[in-house]
Amino acid sequence: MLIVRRRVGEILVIGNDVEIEILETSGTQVKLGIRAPREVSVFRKEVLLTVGENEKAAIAPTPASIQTILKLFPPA
Amino acid sequence: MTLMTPHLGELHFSSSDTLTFPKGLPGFVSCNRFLIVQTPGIRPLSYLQSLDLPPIAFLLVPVPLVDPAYSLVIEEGDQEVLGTSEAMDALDAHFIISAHASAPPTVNMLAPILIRWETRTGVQAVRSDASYSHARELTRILDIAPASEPPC
Repeated sequence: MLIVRRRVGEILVIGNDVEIEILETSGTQVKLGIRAPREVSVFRKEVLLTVGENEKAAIAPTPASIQTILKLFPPA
Repeated sequence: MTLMTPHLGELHFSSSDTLTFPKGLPGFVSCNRFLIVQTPGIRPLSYLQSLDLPPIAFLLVPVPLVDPAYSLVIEEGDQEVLGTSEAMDALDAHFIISAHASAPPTVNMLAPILIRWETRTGVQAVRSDASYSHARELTRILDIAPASEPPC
């Protein structure tokens, strides 16, 4: 992992086409401005994880899988 | 109105049953219209059935039945979609279940599905903190009535 320190207004460049500018800091949060070509996707990591989970979950489970899930309920 | 689906068969519904997800779901941004489908035998689970892509149907479990103490955090952009920053009790919250024969079922606690029935809008609220897992193994479902039931 490359570790750098930047101040507000300073910029990181990734490859030939991607720039990340530090716009603002507030407490524990940093506001970043990202300039990248349209074809380069930029996501929060949590969103990317959710994309992966949604793609797995999108095709509804089989009846057998659903019965397995329903068995997780406490017995009557 | 009628929708033919590969998993739930033929569904009959009216336009007033439709839920709108203006942002779609991550990975499915073009899926903006959904139905909640509750079939006999799977309660309290339900399906979030896409009206835009019929093969797409997510299995849902109410959040309180997985973790009654779940702390709901809604980012500003999702609050704008739902149109409320009021008490979260007004929202119907579910986790999406991922279940396949080859692995134990998991729930995405990082990104609950939130529905505001008053306006029939929904979002998948992806939180920014690392408090919860995107793939927590589902080992039990509690026997507690959900905080809110969807209107008929």
